[in-house]
Amino acid sequence: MKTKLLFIVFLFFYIAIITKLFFLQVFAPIRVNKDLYLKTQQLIPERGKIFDINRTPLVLNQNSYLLFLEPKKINDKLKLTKFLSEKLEWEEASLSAKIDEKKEWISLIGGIDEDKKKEIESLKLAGVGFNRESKRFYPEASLSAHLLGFVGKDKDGGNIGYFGLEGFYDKDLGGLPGLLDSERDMVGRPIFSGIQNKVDAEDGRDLILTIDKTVQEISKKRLLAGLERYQAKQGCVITANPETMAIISLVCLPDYDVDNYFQFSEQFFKNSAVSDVYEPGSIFKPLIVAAALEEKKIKPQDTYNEEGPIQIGEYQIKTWNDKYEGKISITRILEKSSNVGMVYIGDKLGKSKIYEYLKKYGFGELTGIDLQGENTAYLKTKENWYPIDYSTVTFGQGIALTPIQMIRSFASIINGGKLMKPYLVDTIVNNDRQTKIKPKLDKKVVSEQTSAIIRKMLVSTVENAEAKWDRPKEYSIGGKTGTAQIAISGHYDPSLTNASFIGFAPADKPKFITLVILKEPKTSPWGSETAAPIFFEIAKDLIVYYGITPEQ
Amino acid sequence: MKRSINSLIILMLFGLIAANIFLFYSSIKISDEISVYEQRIQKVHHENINLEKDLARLSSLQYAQKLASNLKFSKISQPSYLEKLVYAFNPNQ
Repeated sequence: MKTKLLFIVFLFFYIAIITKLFFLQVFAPIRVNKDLYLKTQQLIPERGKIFDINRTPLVLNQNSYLLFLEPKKINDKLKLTKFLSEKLEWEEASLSAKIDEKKEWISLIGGIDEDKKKEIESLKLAGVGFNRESKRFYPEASLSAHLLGFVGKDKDGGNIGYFGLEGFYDKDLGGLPGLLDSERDMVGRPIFSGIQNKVDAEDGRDLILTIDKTVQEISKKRLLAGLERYQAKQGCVITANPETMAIISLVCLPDYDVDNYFQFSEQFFKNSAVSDVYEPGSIFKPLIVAAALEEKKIKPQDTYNEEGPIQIGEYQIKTWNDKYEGKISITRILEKSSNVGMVYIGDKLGKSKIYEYLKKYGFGELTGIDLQGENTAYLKTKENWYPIDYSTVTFGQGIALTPIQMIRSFASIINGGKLMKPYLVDTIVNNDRQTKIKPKLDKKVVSEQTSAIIRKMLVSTVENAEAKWDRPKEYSIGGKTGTAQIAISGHYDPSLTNASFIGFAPADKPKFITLVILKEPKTSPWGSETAAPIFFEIAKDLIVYYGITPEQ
Repeated sequence: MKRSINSLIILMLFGLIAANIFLFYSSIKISDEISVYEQRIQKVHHENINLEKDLARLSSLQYAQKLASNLKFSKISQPSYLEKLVYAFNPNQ
């Protein structure tokens, strides 16, 4: 009898449990709040790092914190605003206005570093908390500000790269977020037998650049000193491997502080090396000479009778110092940077060939460099060219281009005629997989033979130029100065110039090509007196750094 | 016979209760361990980022320059020699 009674009691409980379960699962499944135990969390990927060619870091990630407030837990609002305003260097009134007591949670400020967090935690303020996040760390500070760009916020508060490499490679660097579905108990411990789904976040890819931070430092130091010495408004130095157009250094000044980019206006973020257009002046001359040699319109041993100024329509073209030497060689035209000599070469080459070669050198189109914000620099259509344009373009006036277009086209005439695509990323690292970026040949512009002749002419140009530079004597260095007047409201202002120098060393097999541009130098308008000395200072440092042996 | 079956059922019941308690305890223990390891992984990752940052800072050119400046390893500290001491030396005094 007792056993039966016990059986009935157990059966009753059993049926009750089954009924309750049936009710919960079939009739009222919505009433069960899944969020009570199932936690879904987005797994934030780590943004890719950026290294130089020697794998030393240029950009890393660092721990930082988001300071948040829980107004309902705040005991003493006055004390809290007083302490926090001191630590965060905020106005007490604006901080107080931010604290809306009706809200559960307020995000106050991000990017707090470890030390600051410890300081605030030591105050033991109720209602103050921290969420871990990540921000960029630049071991070399602003050494490569324009090159790297920075990471800011998009409209949804997510990280997004702006300008430079951060902008161009944002998708690669950003990675893919993961997802974690995890059943947790009351205190947040995972329930072992519950749902545990995890899709791992894919961290951003690391970039190994073609940039050498030592060369970058040399360029920046020399350019900075040059800007002060010659009181120039702005300046850029680009160094590349002329064979591949792998960029070794790229510096434009003034630049900005990458850590505090928000304190600068947008004009500082623009990388002049790829975004600004300018008239190149005489550094453009070797391109026209190379084209004329390639087309066999002139021979290296040809001579030209430099008698005096040339009249083209209403315009008169003179040499820079209005001095004329009579019978001079093609090499001498480059050495003394004769504008009238260049008009003669342009005449020989012919209008359609001039235009054809401008296209061949890649003007009027993007170089394809992997930096955000590249400008194509507009090249007028053939129909819009006046006769004077064909003359002035031979000495680099009346055509606008970007510094990166200039160095790329110049490299093509000294590397055997290969117009290469400039690039900054050498390798992309994705976990253990490495993708090496190969140099890309865009087109062949001139022959090996023409290139060899031009190299010799440019060495002679440096050795026999009007200006005498403090240059390493035992090395053969080729190069060309350039001084271009700046057009203002349709007229050229002779006092305002873009001074430049482009050079390479060693001349037989160039290891580097460097372009130096100064905008509006005040001490002298000439490239030979401003940009050239900076180039030779950089060249001297690079010769030592690369251990290039003397030739002569 | 009936008594022995009853004893067996009771024994099984206690056995099942013990197994259940053990499983419950084990799952809580494993959950705790998961939690602890999750926190430790985060901590190690956190420390790793800090160490990586310190290492990069110490091997940076900026730090080397700062150190060189503090050690006066710069042009300022190079000695300048007085080559023409004759101007400083007055034999009549």
